[in-house]
Amino acid sequence: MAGIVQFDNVGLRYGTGAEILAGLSFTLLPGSFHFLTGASGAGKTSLINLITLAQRPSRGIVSLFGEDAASLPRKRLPSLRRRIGVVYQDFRLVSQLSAFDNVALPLRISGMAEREIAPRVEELLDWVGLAPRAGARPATLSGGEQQRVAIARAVITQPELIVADEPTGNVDPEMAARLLHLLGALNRQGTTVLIATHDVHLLRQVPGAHVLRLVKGRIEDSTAAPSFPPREMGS
Amino acid sequence: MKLPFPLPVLQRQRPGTFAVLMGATCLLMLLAAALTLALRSAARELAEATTARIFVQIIDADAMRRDATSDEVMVRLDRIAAVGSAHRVPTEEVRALIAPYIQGVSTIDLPLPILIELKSGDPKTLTRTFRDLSNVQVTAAGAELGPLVRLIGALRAVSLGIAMTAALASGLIAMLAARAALAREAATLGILHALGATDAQISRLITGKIARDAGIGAAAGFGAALMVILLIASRVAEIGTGVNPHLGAGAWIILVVLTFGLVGLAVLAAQIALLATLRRAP
Repeated sequence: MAGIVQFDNVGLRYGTGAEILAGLSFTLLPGSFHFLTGASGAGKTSLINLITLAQRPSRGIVSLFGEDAASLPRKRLPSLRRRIGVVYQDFRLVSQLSAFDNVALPLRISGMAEREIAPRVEELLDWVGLAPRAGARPATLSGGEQQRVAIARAVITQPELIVADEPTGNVDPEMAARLLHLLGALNRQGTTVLIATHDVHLLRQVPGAHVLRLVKGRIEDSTAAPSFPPREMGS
Repeated sequence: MKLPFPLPVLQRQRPGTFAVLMGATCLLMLLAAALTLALRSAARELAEATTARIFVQIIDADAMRRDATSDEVMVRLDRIAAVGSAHRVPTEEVRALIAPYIQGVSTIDLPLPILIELKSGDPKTLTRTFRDLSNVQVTAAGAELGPLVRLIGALRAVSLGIAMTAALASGLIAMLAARAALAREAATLGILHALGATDAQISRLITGKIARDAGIGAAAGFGAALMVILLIASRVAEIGTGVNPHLGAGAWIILVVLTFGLVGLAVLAAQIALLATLRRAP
C-alpha cells in the first residue's frame, strides 16, 4: 500500500554543517495515526518542515501523496500543501486578521465562495469554543485561544494529512482531550494524523497509534506499538 | 483564487514614499515627452515652411535689365519639370522684408531685388540653369536653416532619452518597493505559502498596493506636468515666433496614454520582481 508520506534514506543539513536528520526511512500509511516523539533538538520540527514542504531534503527521497516532493516543479507545491493541515508550535496566525479570517484563510486560498466559507468557519470556531471571539485579532487572544484558532485553521479543509507540532502545549486538559477526539474522528474518516509531542499522557489517549521516536536526527524503532513513556523521554 | 484581506502595508492610510517617487518620475517623463512632441511639431512646421522653399533673386541696379532677366528666369523655370509653382514676390512684400534692416530709410528709390519663390525644385539644378546669368542667385531656405533643424532634432533625441530614463526609473523604483514589501511581510507571506497560496496569489496582494500608489503618484505627476506645460505654452505664445512649438490633441492623448502606461510598467516591473523573489523561496 502506497504511503501518504514516504521517506527513503532522507537527510537534512543546513549549509555545510552536520546533518540534523540522517538516514530517515519510514512510511505513514493512509488513515494511520502517528506520534512523533523526541527530546528537544532531536529534529522533530525539521522533520515536520520536510513533511509540510517548508524545506527540501539534502539527500534521499521525500514522497508525498505518491509524488517525489524534491523533484516536483515549484508550481505544483501549493496543491500538495493544500492537502496538508499544519498546526505550528508557535501558531503562525496572521496578526492582522481576526480569528474568523485566520480560520477562513485556507478556504479562501483554495478559492471557495464566501457564502460557503462563513458557515464552516462559524461551526468550527464554535466547536473550539471561540465563537464569541471570532472578530478578535490574535494579539488579543490568550496562548490557548491562539492555539485553538491554529487547530481550527488546520482542520477546516479536512485535509488528507494533519501534522501538528505540540498542539496541546497551550491548552487545558479538557481542550486537549477534545482536540484528540476531533483528530481521532478525522482519522477514522481516513485522515492521516502525525502529532509531534512531549506529552506522554497524550500518547496514552490514542490506543493503537504508531510512535516515531526521533533520537539525534534518526528514527529509532519506527514500527513499534506505543510504549509509554518513550525511552529517551523516560530517561 | 483571491485573498481578500489586506497586508499591513495595504492598511496605511497615506500613499507611501513610492507614490511620491512615482509622481516625480511621472512629472519628469511627461515634461520630457511633451518637449519631444512639441519639438516634433516645431520641426515639422519648420520643415514645411522652409525645406521646399527656394528663392531666385535677381540683383541688378538697372531696373530694365532686372525685369528682362526676371522674364528670362520665368521662361527657363517653366521648362524645368521638377519646379513646382513659381511666383514673383510682390514688390511691397520685398520692401516689407527689407525695411527692418535699413532702419527707416525709404525703399522707394532703392533698386530692390526681384524675388521669385518656388515651392519645390533642386537648388543645384537651378544654379546650373542660371549659371550664365550673373545677376541671378539661387537660395534654398531649407539649407540655410539646416543647423537649426539639426539642433531641434538633437534636442528631441535628448528629451526622448530623458522620458525613457524616467520611465525606466519608475520601473526600478516599483521593483524596489515590491521587494521591500516582500521583506516586510515575509512572516505573513511564509504562512500563506505554507497554507498552499500560490506565488501569483501572494504577488497580487502586493501588486494591488503598488498599482494603487503608482496610480496616485502618476495622477499627481500628470497634474503637475499639465500646469508646467500650460505655463510654458503661454510664455512661448508671448514670444510670438514664426515657429510655434505646441501640443495638439494627438499629443495630449499620447501624454495621457504614457501616464497610464507608466502605471502599467510599474505594476509589471513589481510583478516580475515579486515572482522572481518568490521563486527562490522553498
